[in-house]
Amino acid sequence: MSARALNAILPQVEKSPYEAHQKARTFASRYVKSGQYDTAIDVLFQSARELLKTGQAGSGVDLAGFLLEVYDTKEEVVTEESRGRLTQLLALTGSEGTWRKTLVDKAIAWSSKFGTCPSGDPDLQRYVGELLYKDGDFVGAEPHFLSSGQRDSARMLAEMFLQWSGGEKLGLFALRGTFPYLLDGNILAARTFIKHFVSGLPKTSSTPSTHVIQTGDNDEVTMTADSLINFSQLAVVTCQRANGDQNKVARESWVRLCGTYLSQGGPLAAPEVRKVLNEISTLYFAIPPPRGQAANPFGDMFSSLFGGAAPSQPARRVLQPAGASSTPGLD
Amino acid sequence: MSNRISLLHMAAQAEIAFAQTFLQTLSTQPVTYANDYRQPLENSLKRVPIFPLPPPPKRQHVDSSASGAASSQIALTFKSLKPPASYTLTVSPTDTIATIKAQLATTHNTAPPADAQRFLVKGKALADAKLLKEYNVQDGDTVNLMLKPGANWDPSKPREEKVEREILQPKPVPAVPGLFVSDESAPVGKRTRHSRAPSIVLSPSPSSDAPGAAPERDILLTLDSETTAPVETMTTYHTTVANPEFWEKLLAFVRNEFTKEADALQAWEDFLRASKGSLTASEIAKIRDHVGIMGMAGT
Repeated sequence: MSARALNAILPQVEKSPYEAHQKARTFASRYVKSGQYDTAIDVLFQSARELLKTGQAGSGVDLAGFLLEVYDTKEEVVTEESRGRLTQLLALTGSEGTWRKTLVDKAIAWSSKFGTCPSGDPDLQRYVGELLYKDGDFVGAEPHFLSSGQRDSARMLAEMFLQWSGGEKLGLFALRGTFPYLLDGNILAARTFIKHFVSGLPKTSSTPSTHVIQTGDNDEVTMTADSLINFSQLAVVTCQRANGDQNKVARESWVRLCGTYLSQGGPLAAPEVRKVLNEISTLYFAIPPPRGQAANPFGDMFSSLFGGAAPSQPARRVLQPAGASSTPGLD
Repeated sequence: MSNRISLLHMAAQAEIAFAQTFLQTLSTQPVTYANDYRQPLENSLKRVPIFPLPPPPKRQHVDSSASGAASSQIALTFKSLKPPASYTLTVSPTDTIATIKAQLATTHNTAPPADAQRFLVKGKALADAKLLKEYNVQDGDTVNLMLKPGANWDPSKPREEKVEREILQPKPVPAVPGLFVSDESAPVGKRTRHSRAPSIVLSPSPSSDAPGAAPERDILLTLDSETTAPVETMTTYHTTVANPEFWEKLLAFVRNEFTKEADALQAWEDFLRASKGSLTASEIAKIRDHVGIMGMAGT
């Protein structure tokens, strides 16, 4: 079907890429107009790929953008194949300039529209994260690993942070991986992250003596010299035992944990950090968010815990325990 | 000075004491969200926030991969240990793994058919849909060639009937990419027997990863989660070996046999590693979650 168009386009890629680019656009728009989406997709994909291979990033990414427009029109859902085309094109787009970013943004926008996950297809996010990580673009990779939330993403995020830190401010990096995942209701990723992070800690520097405490039957917390790393681990095991307002012991434990570590000041006491902790308090432990300006959020947390009537908040996020199927989701 | 250290030490002791009582209380409580809990994808946040902390020091952008036009060809050696065979092939870094498999099968008629090949570099399986340049493979490197479970291959004989089949079927030349993606999942007629797990002895690739790389004691066979071929799950062997309880019992057994905990864990790890060929990545993950031992290399 697409052979005729490709025979006209591909031989020109090497010598006159501009011609090839124009022809691909023309052919593809005709196919789209006549409703032959799959043919258009094939023409655009192969032309973009060949252009990218010869270093024509601009033309290649333009055609890839067109490809995504056709995906949109066709309402192409995220599959192994439709995603595979994009990852191949992304891999071929070099890191120079903004071309790759352009394509990444468009691809993720499409995958969040036609996939199940509002933040974009987890596999695609992981792929992009890995691509940027390997390129040394740590800042760029972080949001993709966080959005992906898969086991492998969390593992790579931990590796990346350890590299990024160079052995310093490890505690901040531990928070940076653990809490966004927790906030997203993703125990799997939060656990995977912190476990890998802790097991990859440099043996020499800041952790002279580690102390392992058993937790339940087959879990443990490794106490390190960095209290932020300890806090991150303790927070995960506490959240795992949360059950909204049903489990009072877990709820009180959480308040105690936050109170103890926040009283030490440091980065945890920053208002932005408290806000994240408050959101987690609501999501897992059904502790209402503090009213008004958060002058003393944990004071409010305490008062609401012991019977303070909180004004009802609109659309509070609630986490569904595994297996429960009633309560509608969040957001 | 020593005063300060002892103060720090005291603080650490206090923290450990707190954590001990804290966890003691906590472990009496039932787990609501299991280790692999993730809320339904459709409920997840539209934007997972970056944790609001002062940004870590900017890293210098190191562009290791020669991006842009990477059309230069490189020569690779494909080596199989069992049965012993070796092929060389000139490939382009921008080719997909699937393309290279097809190329190997057409260029060397004693090589296994493309759909039976598995490529490994430093213990990592190469995924069909990925490009060669996405892996750290350089000119002159050796790729370990293995067979997918159940495939038969005799390198001393040219594969006549397979060659015919490949002529009949349009070859996935670079011009027809849609085929590659579905290649893996397409049912393959020849793959009916599936009793044999692939051998997992790997030889290291000559190009070393990083200066500070760990000594090459042994090489983990990390199964790329994307690649895991749809392993046939019907055999009774597989049912047992994929059962997390089996591994828990095994752990209890080795703990009994070895005096040191570290030795027991090592033995358990070795057994699991040896079985990885017949397990999918998610099965391995389930086993690890169940038994509660994380892999050293994160597998």
